[in-house]
Amino acid sequence: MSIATATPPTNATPRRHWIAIAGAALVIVLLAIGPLTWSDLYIQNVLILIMLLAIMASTWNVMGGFTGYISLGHSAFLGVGAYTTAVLVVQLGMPWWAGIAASAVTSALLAGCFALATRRARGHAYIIVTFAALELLKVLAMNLTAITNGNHGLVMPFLRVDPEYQLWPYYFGTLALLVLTVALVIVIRRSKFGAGLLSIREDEDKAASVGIPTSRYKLIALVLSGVPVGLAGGIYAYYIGFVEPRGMFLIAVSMQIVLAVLLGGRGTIVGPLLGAAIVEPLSQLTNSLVGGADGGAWKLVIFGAILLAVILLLPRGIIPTIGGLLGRLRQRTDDALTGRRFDDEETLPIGEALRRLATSDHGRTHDRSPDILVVAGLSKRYGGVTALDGCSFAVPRGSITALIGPNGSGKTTAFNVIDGSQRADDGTVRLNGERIDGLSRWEHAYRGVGRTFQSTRLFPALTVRENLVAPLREFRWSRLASPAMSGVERERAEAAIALVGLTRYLDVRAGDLSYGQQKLVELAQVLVLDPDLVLLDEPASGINPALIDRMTEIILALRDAGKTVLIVEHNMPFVLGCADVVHVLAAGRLIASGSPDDIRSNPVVLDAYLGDSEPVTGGAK
Amino acid sequence: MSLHHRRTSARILAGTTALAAAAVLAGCTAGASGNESDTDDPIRIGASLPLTGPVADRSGPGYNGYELWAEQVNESGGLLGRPVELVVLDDGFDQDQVVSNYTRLISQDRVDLLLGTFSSALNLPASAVAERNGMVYVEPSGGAQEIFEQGFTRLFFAQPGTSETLPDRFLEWVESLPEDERPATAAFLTQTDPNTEPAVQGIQDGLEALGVETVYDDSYPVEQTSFDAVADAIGRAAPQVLIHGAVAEDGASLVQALQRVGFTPEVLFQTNAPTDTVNYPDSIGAENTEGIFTPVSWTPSAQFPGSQEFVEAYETKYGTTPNDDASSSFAAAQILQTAVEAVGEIDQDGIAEWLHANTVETIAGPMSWDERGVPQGSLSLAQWQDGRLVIVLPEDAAETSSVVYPKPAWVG
Amino acid sequence: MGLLLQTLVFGVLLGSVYALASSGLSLTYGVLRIVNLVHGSLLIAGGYVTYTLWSSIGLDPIASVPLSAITVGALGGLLYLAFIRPAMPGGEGGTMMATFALMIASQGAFALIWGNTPLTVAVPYTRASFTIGELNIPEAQLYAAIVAVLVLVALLLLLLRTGLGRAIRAAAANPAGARFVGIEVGRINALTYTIGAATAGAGGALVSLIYPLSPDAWAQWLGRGLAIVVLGGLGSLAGTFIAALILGILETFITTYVSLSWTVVVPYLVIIVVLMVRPTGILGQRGRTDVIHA
Repeated sequence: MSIATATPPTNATPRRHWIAIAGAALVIVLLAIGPLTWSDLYIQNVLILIMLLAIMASTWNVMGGFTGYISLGHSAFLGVGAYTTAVLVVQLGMPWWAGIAASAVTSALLAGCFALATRRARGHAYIIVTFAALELLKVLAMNLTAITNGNHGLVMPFLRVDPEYQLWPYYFGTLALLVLTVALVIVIRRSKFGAGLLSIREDEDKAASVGIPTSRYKLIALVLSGVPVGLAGGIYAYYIGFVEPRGMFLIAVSMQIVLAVLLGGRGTIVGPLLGAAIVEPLSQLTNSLVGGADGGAWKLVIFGAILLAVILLLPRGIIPTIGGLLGRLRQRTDDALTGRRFDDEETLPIGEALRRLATSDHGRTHDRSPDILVVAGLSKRYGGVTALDGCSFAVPRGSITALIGPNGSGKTTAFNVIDGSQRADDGTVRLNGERIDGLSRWEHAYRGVGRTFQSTRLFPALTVRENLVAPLREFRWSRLASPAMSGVERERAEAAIALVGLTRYLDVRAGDLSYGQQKLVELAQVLVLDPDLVLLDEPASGINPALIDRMTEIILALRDAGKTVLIVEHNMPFVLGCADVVHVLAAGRLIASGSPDDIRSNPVVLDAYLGDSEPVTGGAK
Repeated sequence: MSLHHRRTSARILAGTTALAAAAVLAGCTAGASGNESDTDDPIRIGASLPLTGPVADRSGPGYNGYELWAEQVNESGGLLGRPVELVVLDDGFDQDQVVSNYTRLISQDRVDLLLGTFSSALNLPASAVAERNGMVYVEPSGGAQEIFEQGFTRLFFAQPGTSETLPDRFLEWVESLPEDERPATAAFLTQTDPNTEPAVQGIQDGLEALGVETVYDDSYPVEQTSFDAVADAIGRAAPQVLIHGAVAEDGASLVQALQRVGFTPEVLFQTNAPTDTVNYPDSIGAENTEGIFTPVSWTPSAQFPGSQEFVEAYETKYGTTPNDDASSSFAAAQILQTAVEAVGEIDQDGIAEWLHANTVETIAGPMSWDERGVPQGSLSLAQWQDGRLVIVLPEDAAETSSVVYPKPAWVG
Repeated sequence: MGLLLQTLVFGVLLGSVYALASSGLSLTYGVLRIVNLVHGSLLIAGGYVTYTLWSSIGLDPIASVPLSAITVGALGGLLYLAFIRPAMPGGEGGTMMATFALMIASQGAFALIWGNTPLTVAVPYTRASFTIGELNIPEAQLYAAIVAVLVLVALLLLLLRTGLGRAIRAAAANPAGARFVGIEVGRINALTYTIGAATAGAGGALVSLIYPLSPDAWAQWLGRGLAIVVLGGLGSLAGTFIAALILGILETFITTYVSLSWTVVVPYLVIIVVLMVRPTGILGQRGRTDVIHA
């Protein structure tokens, strides 16, 4: 009865790994010795611009690719970095290193402001607000003349160097920064933090409910993606020699960044670098393709046409497209191996799996009062509709408690308030005696509240395994950089999946599973949190009878393992079959409580259900 | 980890290979170019112009000026007996691009001489590239003070004056008015532009020193398009003099708005916009140009040696009258030509030294420079009279001795 | 008091034109869920069409509103079918880049056809105005505002009273549901884009009456349009109209009472503040997917 899963890393992996490292080293060495061997300034200049764009594209990718937030304001970090250096050096007479160091500070501050300004914006709204922020900064740079010298700009001190070596300081400075930036991005991508960013991209609300502090993560991601660009801005100020508002806060630069990432491949490590290496030379090329007074206009037409061609012909970008082709080739040979190895489902006894999932010390409360959860006087209104109207009930520790009621009685709203995804207008929620209403969703998760959703919400583009290592039981700064899949995390993921009997699907994309399977995986995901209180929103709806039996078995086992389970469910035979306590809601209030037998015979409950399509006694013999 | 990891590594490999290939390729092309120039080869002269973007309408005539000069030089036997070849790149009014372009012109196209670009914002970084590479840089535009304070020794401005001296002639005229005819109030409006802002500030300082009271003072960025509210505010302040630091179409837009609110100042001084002799009268109504002052480096009726021949040739080639942008770039090329011929070879230091020591005759008048490259003259003051832009000051260049004052009211 | 009223009048006149100029942006966002970056360029295209008609056959800009609307509408529809719809599988990034590419290319095309010199449609009444007591009402602005309101009313009637309008609204509210009840969402999307482009064409005709045209003039209209659409509530046409008036009035008040140099920050400040404080805008729907409910 071992966990017979998780193909161990094959020999191929380390070999490919070494080839990749060797390739990267080769590029770095080539770039480093380049200027020593070719004296062509123009090539050096184009390489500097490529590297600058690569730094911006790689860091844009942290928010845009990993986290799913497309920004049109990324060039603002370059502008703020350049301005910081220029103001310190020109206006205050500080040395160059102080200026560039301060650029890191101001770009981090800007990232903080960005996070604040965008805290409620997603998707298109995020695109628009970042565009507005960039334009706003430009006008500020124009109008705050005492600091920025307005449209006159700031002229950087002129470095007199031998013409042959004149670009070396910028070249090697940018190269060093690029190497560090790419290293940073690789670390982010492989870390627990990076896994959290991916889950935010997939489903931000869900990510919060499994303990990922989404707003804090986004702030960190913004700071990490802004600071390298801010530093680059410091170098850029010296390189251009002249800092003025229009040149520094250029929407076209932001667009070039987005183009480089989309062309290379969003969410990949190499894509943005490759994109930058193509986009910058391309704009240089179109620049010299046509001459004459109309040449500039033709350049715009050609550049636009190339851009369109890229978007339409390579919508996923180069790297993912190549990856997809290679993947298809490889799949043909691999299929036979991976497919049919586990014909008979090998599952772990539930108790054993839960024991493995239990965390020895999770620092949670030692409160042992009889009721784990006490809800008092909850009210919630949407416009004119009252969803909850002074709703109060308690959930006994170690019980399976069911929350039932006719449609629109407020069950799901109560759930949402308990797990923190909505705020009640009035009333309190106490967990282990501590008030938890008003806390963020992830704080709920850290205190031991886990929740599944009525229609399942896994991270569809991630594998089952990645879904299972995503949950966080606590937030610790020191954990952010640790690898996404450490040994412990893997074991917990494997135990959780074994618990629901879907071990063989570990490396399947969650979105490819059947609905019932997704329900079970979501339950497993919640159990990775090792919650004290498990909230299940209609766990039995829409799945086949065999899976319902499995679900019942798991729920009973959870109780036996000392957990408390709170269920919202319409399937009466199922819920009355396993619940210890049943609370009945109607019109946003509690109208009855008791054992399943009490509820079956309670006339008030019958009244409440009159006219509803699901009579409470249905099937319950 | 395995599956995902493997794919990432493969991608890193693919990407690095591509990068390496690009780098090697870049190295090869670099090696291939750059052969030494022969004496019979053309002299290559490089420039980058913002042929697209916000100042495109000004650099178009500038481009024509360069082109016309090159054509004329080649027709008359070339420069130092060699034909000249212009290499002009577009920078789209982008600083990255202008730096790239001049670097490219110097290190890849191996041009022998450089000519400047348009606008101060571009000439600043571009002049630094030229200086770093020891090239002489004659710029037809970009009179902002900052440009000349970088300590460059090979930089020369091809207009008779900068924004520093732009107010001189106008103030001279105000001062020449009898005490009782002098205006008492003035309003100042300018685009926040490195050229117009100091110029308007200079006029404000000068007028205030003459006892003229400032009743309105504001500035706006290039994005501003609606001038009704500001025209109304100016009308309410009712100044006798209105000084407007316009850059491009904002000039005509403000005048239209002034017409709508029905306010005519007695003196209207506007930079840049009124020198567009083709579109400006169209936009504001030809009769309404009467009496508007503007500083010019040159007008189509200027009588400097070669000026009328230039107008004629330009009109034949391009079908329109040249403006002062065209004349400035033509003059910039003339300056370079004169210096090269005087030195007798392409020696950047020699050319720079010669220009610092001598006066050059151009179609925009004689020019000489101080050690910063600032021309030792000032712009002329021109006024629209009877549908023509004529120079009224300085006296030696004046095309008429009469000045329209006060300005007649707008007509529908 | 006179100044206050005068400022208000300028603001309302400006706001009405803004409303028409941004209504198409709101429509394409609400129905197609794309940030149509090429909208400003379509507006400028309308202006250039109007300029050409005026300079070649002397057609009054007001009279060329329908012609400009039809021309630009057709152009927009073609662009949508050829370039924007195929980019939709790329998500918001794909359509954003596609419309950006069109914007860049169209700037080049404008420069090739009409040159880089700013053009103005110099009909005499652009420089005239009516005076009521102390109050000054610029003629061109007044005509433009009236025509803008008329076109908007027509658009609103089209959306509220016709079958096509119902289908558009259904597709906006719930594309899957609309498909289920037999609405061809693909066709509706194309029609919506065409209508949006046509309003830009009409708006452009009016804009040419008030502002100079240059190939890069799209920029200021894009920022302003986005601010209006955000403030009005992404996808709400009535909200768009109110927001446009607010923006027009805000801009003129800042110009008059603060400083001209801060006027241009108004649109961007509006976007940021609205999305921080009330992301649904004035009249936006609840439950938007691009807003984090706090």
